[in-house]
Amino acid sequence: MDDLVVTGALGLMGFYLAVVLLLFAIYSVVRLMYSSLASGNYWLALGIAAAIVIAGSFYLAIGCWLHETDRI
Amino acid sequence: MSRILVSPLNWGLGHATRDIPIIKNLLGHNHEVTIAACGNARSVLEQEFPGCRFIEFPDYPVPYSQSRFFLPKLVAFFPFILKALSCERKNLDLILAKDSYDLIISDNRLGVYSSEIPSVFITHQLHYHLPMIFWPAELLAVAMNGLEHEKYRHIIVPDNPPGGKALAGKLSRPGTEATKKRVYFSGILSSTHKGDEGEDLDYLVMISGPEPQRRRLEEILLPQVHMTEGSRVILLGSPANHTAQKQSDTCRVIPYASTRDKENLMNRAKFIICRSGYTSMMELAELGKRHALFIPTPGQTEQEYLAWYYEKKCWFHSQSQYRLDLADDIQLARQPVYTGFPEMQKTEENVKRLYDQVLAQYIDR
Repeated sequence: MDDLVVTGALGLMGFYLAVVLLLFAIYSVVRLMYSSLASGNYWLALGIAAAIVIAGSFYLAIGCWLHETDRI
Repeated sequence: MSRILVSPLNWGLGHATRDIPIIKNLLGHNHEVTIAACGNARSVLEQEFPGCRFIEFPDYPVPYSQSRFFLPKLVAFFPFILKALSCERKNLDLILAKDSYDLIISDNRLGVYSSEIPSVFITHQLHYHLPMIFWPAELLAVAMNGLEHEKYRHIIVPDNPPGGKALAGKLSRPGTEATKKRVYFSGILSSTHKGDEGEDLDYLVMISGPEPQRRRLEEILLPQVHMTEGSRVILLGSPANHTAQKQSDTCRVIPYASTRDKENLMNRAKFIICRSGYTSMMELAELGKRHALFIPTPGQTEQEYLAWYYEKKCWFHSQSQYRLDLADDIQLARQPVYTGFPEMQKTEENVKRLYDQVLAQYIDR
């Protein structure tokens, strides 16, 4: 098979795998938060929420930096 | 005399029309040009070059969207595009097995190249623009582009080199070493010519692009155009209907205009309202138009970026079709702060230079 098609197929599989992993990670975090809230472990729930906010801010900050420095 | 295979993508007519000056130049040097294309791209080139040989060569499905969510639809289309790419490679093998060629020119057709025949690739997008939230995908796309460009001897970018006069902004900026080594900035390539007509038309409205967004813009613009003053021509870009409608003494609606008629109207227009597609931008630059209003196709990230970029450079005013207030936006677009595109070399010189500096080395041996 042509190498361009093979590279494309591998890239596509990698992309869809990454999407599935991301969705699974979101599901796992939501489930963990829900179970910690249900069991009254509010500190764990707060910790998870804080970790999400920090990770999200970090992600957005990198995006802003790349945009401001004209890299994207 | 050399034999050249030219293959433009049929996603809109922009790829085919920007290849017209290149094909004319090749024919002018007495080379034999075979055009492998499909759909409207093929029709336009058949009209322009009836003496050339044509091969029906299907390309990729077009993932245009009814809503502003073009990107998710494009992602969902990836498997179909990959399948079409595989067919394209097989079809190209058949074409190359039947006839010999000295050079292959691919306009944005990713599978049109050969390891045995010098191949060049024409694109104005070395860097795809995505919403900022998807920055990792944008960086990944730059790297993927670099891998694709390794298949070609040259990557011809119909834009000025990166800097103050680059019409495509970051889109035409090379991001990988593989691309930087191969890139050649040809300057603008447009099949539209500057004519001697005086500017006697106040407004030319060009409603173009894929359905259903073309129709949506028609519905938004038509009632507003009638509220403006001065002579107006509205090109609907709808080939299905060939009957011209006269709305009033000063306003004419033309469902579809030939490329010659469109060129004439563009030359005559004092002010142009159109989508911010890159081919239209090259046409405006070729004609040296200073006053225009751009309305990007919703969800088409390239057009949205160009609209934003021209606003940032204070070249032209742009407005989303959802927030358009034509009278106000025309007034804004006429402000002296908007200067139009800077002076630049035109297609005629650019295509000569492209031939001498890039193409001739493969075919004038």
